Amino acid sequence: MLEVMDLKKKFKQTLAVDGVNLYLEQGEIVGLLGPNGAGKSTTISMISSLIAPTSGDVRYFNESIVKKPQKLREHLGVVPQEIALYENLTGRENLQFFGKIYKIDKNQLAQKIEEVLDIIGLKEKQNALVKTFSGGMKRRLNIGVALLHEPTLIFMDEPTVGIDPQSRNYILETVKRLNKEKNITILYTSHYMEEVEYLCDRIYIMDQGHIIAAGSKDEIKHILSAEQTILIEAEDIKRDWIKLLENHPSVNKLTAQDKRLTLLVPKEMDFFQTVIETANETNTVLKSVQIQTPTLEDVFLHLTGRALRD
Amino acid sequence: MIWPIIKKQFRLMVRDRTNFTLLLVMPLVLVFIIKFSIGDLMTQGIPEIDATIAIAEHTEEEADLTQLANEWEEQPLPEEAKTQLVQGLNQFQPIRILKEEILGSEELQDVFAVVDIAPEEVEAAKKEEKYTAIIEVPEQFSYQLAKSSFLNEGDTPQLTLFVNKSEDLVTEMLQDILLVYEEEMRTTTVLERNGVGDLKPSLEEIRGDIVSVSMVEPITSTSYYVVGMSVMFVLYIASTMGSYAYLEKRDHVFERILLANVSKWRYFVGMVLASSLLAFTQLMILFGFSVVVFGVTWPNIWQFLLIAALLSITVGAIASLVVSLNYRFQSEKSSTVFGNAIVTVFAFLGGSFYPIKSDIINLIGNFTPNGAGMTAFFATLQGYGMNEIVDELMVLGALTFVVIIAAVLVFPKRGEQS
Repeated sequence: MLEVMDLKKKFKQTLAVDGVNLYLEQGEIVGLLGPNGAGKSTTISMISSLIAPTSGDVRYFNESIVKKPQKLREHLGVVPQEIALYENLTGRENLQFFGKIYKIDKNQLAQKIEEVLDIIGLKEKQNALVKTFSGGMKRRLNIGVALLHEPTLIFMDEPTVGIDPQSRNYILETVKRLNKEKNITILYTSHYMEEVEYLCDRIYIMDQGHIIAAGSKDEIKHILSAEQTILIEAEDIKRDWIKLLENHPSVNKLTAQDKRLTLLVPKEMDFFQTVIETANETNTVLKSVQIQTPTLEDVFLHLTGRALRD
Repeated sequence: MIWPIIKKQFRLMVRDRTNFTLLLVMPLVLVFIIKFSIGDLMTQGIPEIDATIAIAEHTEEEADLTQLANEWEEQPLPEEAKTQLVQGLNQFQPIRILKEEILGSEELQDVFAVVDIAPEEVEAAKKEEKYTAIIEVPEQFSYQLAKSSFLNEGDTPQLTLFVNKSEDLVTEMLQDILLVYEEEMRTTTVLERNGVGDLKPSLEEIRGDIVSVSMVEPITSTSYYVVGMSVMFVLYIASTMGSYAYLEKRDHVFERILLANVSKWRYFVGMVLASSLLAFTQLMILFGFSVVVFGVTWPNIWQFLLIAALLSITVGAIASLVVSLNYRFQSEKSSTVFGNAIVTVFAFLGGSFYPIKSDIINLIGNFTPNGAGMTAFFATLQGYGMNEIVDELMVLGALTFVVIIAAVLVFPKRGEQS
């Protein structure tokens, strides 16, 4: 359906996207993961034809959209990370405005608006000004606008940033439903690994302008099949102790957050003993030690050296 | 495609209380304040001036005219001609007409107080600047003027006008009144001699000439500021639209519009049209309100509408340039600079704050959209026709063209960082 080939974008001296290759098959949900500044948004802007690539190509059903984006745009809905709405218009007026610029017939538009309001659950608040909406309601309307013209392909750029868990769940369910019921293909970026794990069939991991890993959830996790994750909680995490663990030859990755440490070590190795010994050496009081099978977050950490939300 | 953009801009503008106040309430409040703080400079075309005019006669009109009548009686003329001349002479009392029927007329008596002074007092009065102006009537003035007018004999005598230099407006008015008075006295007498016309010049004729000779425009201060404030505040449409467009860009709404297969040029045209229509609506509301509240009416409504429409299109063009600059520099600064600085400079140069006396500033001001619009509106208020405002309309047209070209060149192209 959509193929991205060796896409590059250079802004003055900065190479924001460096040779990205990816594809989307009809009806799948694909996750695009990466820390801030990885080049995700620039990639999405190029794929959605908003900015021209420095080199490379984007093909929609085998036709390049770089110079002729009209066909893709007819079938594409984009949910930007920002609340791209008019705050001084009501929810319904926003939908009416975007429906009209999508040239949806007047009679059809009224029906489409009703449908969209049903999907995003904003029927009761449709006549309130957007500026009076909660963060979750704005996010839902942000999605609703992208659904008006019945797209077959939707790019969602962090659609759940900064909202309460209830709204987040609602959005995730909506995305899942859109994919299942309407067979809409979705490219989904998020900082929340659990969202990607829940929604996506395949995943691309991006860092510093490159795709550094790609595959199904299981394939990605398999990258860490030879490793295990050890979660440690201590009364106080001392620098000496972190240094000792970091310098240990079996520790592939280490992250410290508050009073917790996450270590990636070889699977077959019994690392418990080492943890206890080094803790004693540095007078660290341990509260708990757990071994986990790798998560996508661990894979991300392994590949980029950073937590997803860094 | 463009209409939804225009409709949306109107909705946004109406719901934006801050800008709504700035664009509609502020100019009217300012006109109110100015009206009640400085009052009307001109009322019904006549300036509100309290001036005292002294008239010093070095002659006696009755004696002059009697002497001439006696001379004519002794002339070897047919009796019928003599009777006609004497009858004409009986109505010919130029000094009385000047004092009573012109300066003392109903329309001018509130403007000028006329006092008679003896010729010996003239020098002292000049030194003391006791009077706003002194008119000296030379010896045998009526005698000479009648002779020159009726028989075309001898030179036409001149009145001497001394004015206090601090009273520019009075000076100009008096000079014009006297100029027209002398001319009218001479020509109407000639007409009378030929059996046509009335012997005294009408005040309307004099007033009509005052307007064209001295360029004292019969525009009330209320009219002045209604026009001045309206053409100034209409410029804020450009900065407001620039800000709205910047928000659309910042919040990625613009990208959504592009993704709906709306070309950026359609969006651009939509912004120009929306700004022009908003500017036109603003002008109509302000001027409409002024008709009802301040009584500022337009003698030629079509001419007025044409100027308003052209000025609105120029404002639309300026708005497009501000939008382009905001997009190019990815900030709202262009709107801020235009709204906070450039509008004020334009308003000063164009004369929105007060009438500009400097010729150079006037010239520059006429090349600002508000200045050109203001001059055209004033000419229309005074009853001038299209011929008199062609220059201003051309300035507005040229400004629109140049500014739109600049806006198109500045607007970022696809692929540029915008």
